[in-house]
Order: sequence, then C-alpha cells, then structure tokens
Amino acid sequence: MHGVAEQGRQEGGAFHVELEHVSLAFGARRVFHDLSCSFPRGKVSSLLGASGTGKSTVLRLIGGLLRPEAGVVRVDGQDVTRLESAALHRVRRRIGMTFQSGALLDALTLFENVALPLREHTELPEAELAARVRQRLADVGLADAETLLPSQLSGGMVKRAALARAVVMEPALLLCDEPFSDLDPLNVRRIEALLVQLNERLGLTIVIATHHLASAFHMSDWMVLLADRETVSGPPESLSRDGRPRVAEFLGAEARPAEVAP
Amino acid sequence: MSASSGGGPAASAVAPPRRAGGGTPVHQLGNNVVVFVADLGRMARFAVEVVRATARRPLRFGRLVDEVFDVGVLSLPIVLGSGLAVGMVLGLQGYDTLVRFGAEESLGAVVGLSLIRELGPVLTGLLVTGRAGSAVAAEIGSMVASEQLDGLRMMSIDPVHLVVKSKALALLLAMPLLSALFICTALFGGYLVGVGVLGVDGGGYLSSLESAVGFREDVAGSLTKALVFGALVGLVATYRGYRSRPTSEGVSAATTATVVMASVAILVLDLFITALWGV
Repeated sequence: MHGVAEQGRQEGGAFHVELEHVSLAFGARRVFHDLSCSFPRGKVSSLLGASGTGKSTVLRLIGGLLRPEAGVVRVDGQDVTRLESAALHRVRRRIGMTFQSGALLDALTLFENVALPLREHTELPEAELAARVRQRLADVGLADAETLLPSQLSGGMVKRAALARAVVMEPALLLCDEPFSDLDPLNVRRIEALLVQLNERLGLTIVIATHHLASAFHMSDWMVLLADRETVSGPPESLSRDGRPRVAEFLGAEARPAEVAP
Repeated sequence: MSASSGGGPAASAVAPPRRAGGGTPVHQLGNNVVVFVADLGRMARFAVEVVRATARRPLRFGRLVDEVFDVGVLSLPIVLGSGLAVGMVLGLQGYDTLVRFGAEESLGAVVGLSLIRELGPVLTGLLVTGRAGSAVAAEIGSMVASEQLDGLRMMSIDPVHLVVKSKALALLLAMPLLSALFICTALFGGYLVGVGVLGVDGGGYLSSLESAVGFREDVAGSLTKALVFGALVGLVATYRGYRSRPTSEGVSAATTATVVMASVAILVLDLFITALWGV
C-alpha cells in the first residue's frame, strides 16, 4: 500500500489528488487504516469497491468534509486536512461534487439550484448567468425542466441536475458519488459522454465513486479499488489482468467490459 | 457518520464523548453532565457563528421575509386562538377570586398584568416552540440527512449564512410580535367574559387595566422577555437541526429535543429574568 503513490507517479503522471497514510474511524468502526491512493491530473479515475469500503468517504475526505485521524489528503498540492476556513473555501471553489442523493435544495427550482453557485460567487449579468445555466441543463438533457422543483423530478433527473450544478462553475476537479445509480441505460451513456467531454474539453480531473463496472471500464484512465485491507491502483487494463484474489473476486462479481460491450 | 465540517475547517471524525453504558449511577451522572456541558459549549460556538453570519453580506432580506412569514404569519391562528382561550379562562378565574373580596372592578388589571408580565411571553414562547421551532429543526435536519448542507459546503457556500441565519433571525423577530398579538387577543377574551358574560362594567375593566399597566416596567419588559425567548428558540431549533444525525431517526430526535429543551429553557429563563429584574 505504501508504494501506491510512487507507482502512480510512474504510471499516471502528476497527481491532482493524493491520500497518504490516511486513517479514519467513525466511533468504534474503523473505515481506513493507513490508506494511500492517488488520482492523476486531467484524467477520469474510478473509485471502486464493495459497499461499505468507504468510496463516498474518500470523496468527502478529498472535499474536506471529513478530517482524518491521521494522514494527509492533498488536492493540488495543498493538504486540505490542515486548511483553515477561508483557505478551504478557496480550494472548494475549484472542486465540483455530486452526491448520491443529488443534494439539490428542495426549496429552489432546478434553474435556481444550478444558478446558486454563480449567484454566490460571480457577478455575471443575469442574461449571461441564465444562458450559462440553460446550457448546463441542456448538456444533461434537462432543458425543459428548469422550472421544476427537485421533488417533481425522478431520481435520474436529480442526478443529472446535480451534475449540471457541479460543473456550472467549471471546476478543475469533479468528484462524482455514484453518478450512474438510478439511471436508465440511455442516461448512463449520456452522463458518460458528458463526463468524457468535460474531461477532454476542459482538462477536468474526474473522480467517480461507482459500482457500475461497465461504465468505469468504459470511461476510466485510472482505477482505484478499495478492498478490506489493501488498495489496488492502476490503468483499467492492469486491474483486469491483476491476479490477486480480492481484485479478481470484485471484478468477477459483475461482467467485465469485454463481456459487456463488443 | 460524523458531522460534516462547517463553512470552514473539516470536521473531525473523532466521536463525541460516549454515554456510559455501565458503571455506577455516579459514573453515569458524571458522564451525562460532561456530555451536557460539552453540548452547551458547542451550542455557544454555534451561536457565535450565527451572529457572525448575521453581520456578513449579503443580508438576504428576501429570504428573511419568507422565513418571518413561515414562522410568524403561519403561527398566527394557533397563537390568536390560544390567546383568546387563555384570556377567557383568566376572566373567569379572576372574576371568581375577585368577587370574594368585592373587587371585581379590578378584573382588567388582574388579567392585564398576568398576561403582559408573565403569560403572554411564556405561552407564546411555548406555542411557537411547538409549531415553528420544531418545524425549523426538522427542516434543517432533513437538509443534513439529504446532504443538502454538505452540497452547499462543497460549493463554498456557508450553510449557516444561507440557511440558518434567516431562520434564527425570523424566530427572534417574530416572537415579540406574536407575543403582543397573543396579549391583545387574550385581553379581548378577558373583556368578552368579564363584561359580556359576568356583567363587569366595561369602562371599569379598561380603566383598571390602563391604570395598573405601566409601559416601561410592564409592556417593554414583556417585549424584551419575548425577544429573549425568540433568540433562545431560534438558537435551540437551528442548532438541534444543524447537529442532527443524518438519518430519519436523527431528524425525529432533533425535533423532539428542540421542543423539550426550548420549553424547559423558556420556563427556567423566565424564572431568572423575573427573579433578577422583576419583569
């Protein structure tokens, strides 16, 4: 586990996000002990692992929503575990994050939800702001839903709206927590395409915590698999060839990409 | 999961002091006291955060108006209805007592002083706690459970500034107004019973009320008391919601804790204010 970051430096280039020797417990339940993993800059990375292995928790650590008991979490070279409020705000301004539940504000329409970060952090004229919000909503296929409240949307629509809100400020790093759950195959492909397009067009670093192996193999340049006591990182093809029982067991639990897509 | 960080530094995942599962009753009592004092300390820090957020721009005046409508205007039916009933009861009980001493013309003074100095702010505080305080705690708790507050943090938006501030301020501002309306309605209820049913002279009711009630020591004191209770309910409700566990049970516990804690605190604080300042 200790050599993961070094291995990543050799294989994946400069890292946007690095976790080193992170330990974390919630009360009596230990989630991580000496966890180290990294995510390369400008690439799409997938964070895999069985339920309860801490995928969402890794994203929360990266976003500074949780502080570990020990270890370092670096984003763009800055240790977010030691930043004061103002500095953490500055780091978060360069991060977009989507949550499993969508986390849209119930009281605001879809348009206002997506417009919220722009209203809070920019002084864009209303027309320009509206154009940017409508473009993002169109990107995720919700152009005709801007007046709806989150309670009027399906689970999949909420996910897509959350993605629109996460990228409206054009962040450098995008963290996605289970972006493909609750989506039909058509929308899975739409979100995959949007994420890849964002990565290619803006050079966005994307970290996706997901159970959706087909999408992960389809999109990712880099993968991190969280197992009980170890972390396995590398390009998708190297994970596919990895003979370790835990890796093979996890990847074998769902159809591999070669078996899914022609 | 441990509570998420505020607008600023990340939250520690270290668990709060645990309640003693076993040990002697003395150990358990000591542990409960430690947990209680630690919670009071966190609430004090939260109060400072809310005050700082209140002073920060943007002021979000429109949001404040919406919240005042929610906690104030929507509480009117329950406050006015209860006020009328309490005033009528005071009229009946007061008349029954005063008539034994041949002092029934003082009914206005008795009803007025009881309401203005004591019952108005206290009962309004309890009613608003039950209706609006619990709703505020439940709403913020639901936002915690559905990750909405974490979503705001990740957008570099301080949830205390955007969500909490306006709710706490609305309770602070609405409480004296609601208390004043409660008192007016109750005075009218006392008048209805005393003058309309029991035959007390209407002019006597009003003149005894006017001569007994002083503006500074009674009315201003009553409004100040209501303002203090408003601040208390606003703080307890927002804090309990903000610190709730991110589950449906957590939201439910936060709502219950708000009603219990704010109600008891209102009664205890009322005792201290009355004893120390005679209001």
